[in-house]
Amino acid sequence: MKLLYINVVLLLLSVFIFRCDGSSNPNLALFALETKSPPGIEFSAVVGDSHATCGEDISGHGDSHSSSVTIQHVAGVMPIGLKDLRFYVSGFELVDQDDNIITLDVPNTGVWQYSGVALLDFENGKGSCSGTTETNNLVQATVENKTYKTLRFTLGIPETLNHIDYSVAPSPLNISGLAWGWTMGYRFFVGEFLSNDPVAVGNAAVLHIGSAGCTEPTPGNYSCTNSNRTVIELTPVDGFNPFTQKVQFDLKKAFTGWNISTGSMSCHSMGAMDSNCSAVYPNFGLDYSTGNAGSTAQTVFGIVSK
Amino acid sequence: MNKTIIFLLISFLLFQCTQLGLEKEKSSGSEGILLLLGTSPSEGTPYTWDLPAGFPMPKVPSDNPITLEKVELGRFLFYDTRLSENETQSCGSCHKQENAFTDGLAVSVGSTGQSHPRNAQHLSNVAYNLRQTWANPLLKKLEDQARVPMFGDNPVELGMKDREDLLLERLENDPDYVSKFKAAFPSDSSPFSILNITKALSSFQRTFISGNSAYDRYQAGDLSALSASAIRGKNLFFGERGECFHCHGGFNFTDTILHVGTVFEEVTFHNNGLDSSRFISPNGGLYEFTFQESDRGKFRAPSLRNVELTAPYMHDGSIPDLLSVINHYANGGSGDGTTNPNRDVFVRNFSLSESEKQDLVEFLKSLTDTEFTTNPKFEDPF
Repeated sequence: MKLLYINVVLLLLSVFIFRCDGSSNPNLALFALETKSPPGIEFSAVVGDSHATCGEDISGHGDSHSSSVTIQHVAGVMPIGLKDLRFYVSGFELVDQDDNIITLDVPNTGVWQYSGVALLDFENGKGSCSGTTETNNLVQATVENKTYKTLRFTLGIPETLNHIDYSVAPSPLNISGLAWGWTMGYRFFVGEFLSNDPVAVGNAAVLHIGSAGCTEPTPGNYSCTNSNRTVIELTPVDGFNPFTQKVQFDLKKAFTGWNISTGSMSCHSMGAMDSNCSAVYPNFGLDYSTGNAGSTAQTVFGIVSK
Repeated sequence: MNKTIIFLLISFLLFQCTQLGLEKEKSSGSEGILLLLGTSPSEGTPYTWDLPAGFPMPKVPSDNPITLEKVELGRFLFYDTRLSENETQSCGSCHKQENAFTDGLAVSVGSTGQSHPRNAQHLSNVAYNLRQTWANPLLKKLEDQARVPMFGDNPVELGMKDREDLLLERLENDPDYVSKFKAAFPSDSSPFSILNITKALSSFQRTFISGNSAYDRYQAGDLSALSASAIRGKNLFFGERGECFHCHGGFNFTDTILHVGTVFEEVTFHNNGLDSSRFISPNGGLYEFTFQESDRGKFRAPSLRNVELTAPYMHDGSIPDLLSVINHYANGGSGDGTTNPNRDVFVRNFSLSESEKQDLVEFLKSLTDTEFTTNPKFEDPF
């Protein structure tokens, strides 16, 4: 009987080990299972107090009419419908309490991550959403269960990957909705929604951020005057623990400065051709005229509890 | 390990051939060996160019050699409305053969009804284009350009953004396409791909060679091919009064040409003196890419082949007919375009009598090639 018990335990153990086989580091896989938390940086997307989801009215993001301060954003108090919300993130770094900078290894997954770039996808193609069915809110990476001072990442694709042929690029760099064929590059950020309010129904907000002013002086060597890559640096007072906290993107904050109650607004990062961009770029910490870091800090990303 | 498998496969194929003792089987066997060794013996039947006199050999991208099978597949794809999300438009909807592959509209209208900011380009001799489209310095290959109408959303043309799977599924479910894709991409284990669609479309478009107009016949020695008026117009066109040839020169009547003999690529864009109201968003021209004010309103000089059939004119279709175009240039531009600092030096006021203008129009009409616009090889196969 005791022998049988040992055999069963051995069998279970071998199954368990077998299941772990294939992960790059079995010990870390065990560690992750132990803490019941996926290894990586989790993201979420909200619109003010509401979740940014497809297929339903999103409300609860407006400011009170009684407020003496007029704040233009998203669409005031009108209900909106999400159309698209996807963005590429790369260059992840954590800064620990001793100011050591830990560069995160963001492995290739064949699906959402390639060459240190991850795609976060909050639309599922349902309702008014126009993208793909699949969604992703996690940047898979090896992280420790501890509190860091700072999390840093870039909203965008590095220049070295920005002009590869997307029709043959590995996933997630092969999605037409994120490709910007006109500039032989990518859209780093795609955020779109429309008004569901009866008085402004169909008015849309479209924000596409990508490198602009691109030319190719010598074959294969692209040069873009406006990189439009923003480095998001998050340093919460109480620090950041990837096991208990996540990064939150706020669509309301991203679109502060735009009002679609009277007409559609769009920005395609086309330089002076796109006058509406200068109102929303500072929300991302970018100066639209240069495509570099601006004078105001980004407000669209923050750290919240899981 | 891999080497062992390859060796075994090769031995198997060789063994099979010798056993069967059939010459045909043997050749297909050796093809298989070449494939296994990673060399592509044949991408299909090489396309044979039938070029008019004076036309150089087009430069075809090395990663997309032109074959009869790709051209054939591309012809079907070009005219297939399944390439648009709502199945209402194909490439051929805005590029009609009878109009030298433009659509006769000031600006094109996409599958969802959205107007394009630009006038559809004609596709005569597009194989020789150094750059595609009106002002994009980045779109060099037809393969790259093809993705813009398919997947672009600003404006929506065919509206296939995020619908790659739907597009491939539609085509894969058509047995006719299964055989056509296999034939066009024989060494490709999964021939249905966006890249292969663009390769086939480009191959078909590269066959759009137009070089049998009255002007060409005249150049070839048939002096009766041009009227006296057209000959006077020709002299004006190539003379120092008209100076038209600076931007519209050579066999293809443009100043940006690519062919196998091209060593130095000269990429030029011109401001042709249109009123500055024609350069407002999103029609800034080259400026949209360089962000240089001096590039505002600069566009590619299109080939004038079949120009009679491609009205209305200019990047935005703002000039209705050839006489109006000549008046625009004779005037040195239109509106405040005559004083635009970006205006090309060759766009300057010059005097032409009304009959001389008519002569120029007659010359431009002599570039019409009806053999091109009625060639059954370019027709809609559906």
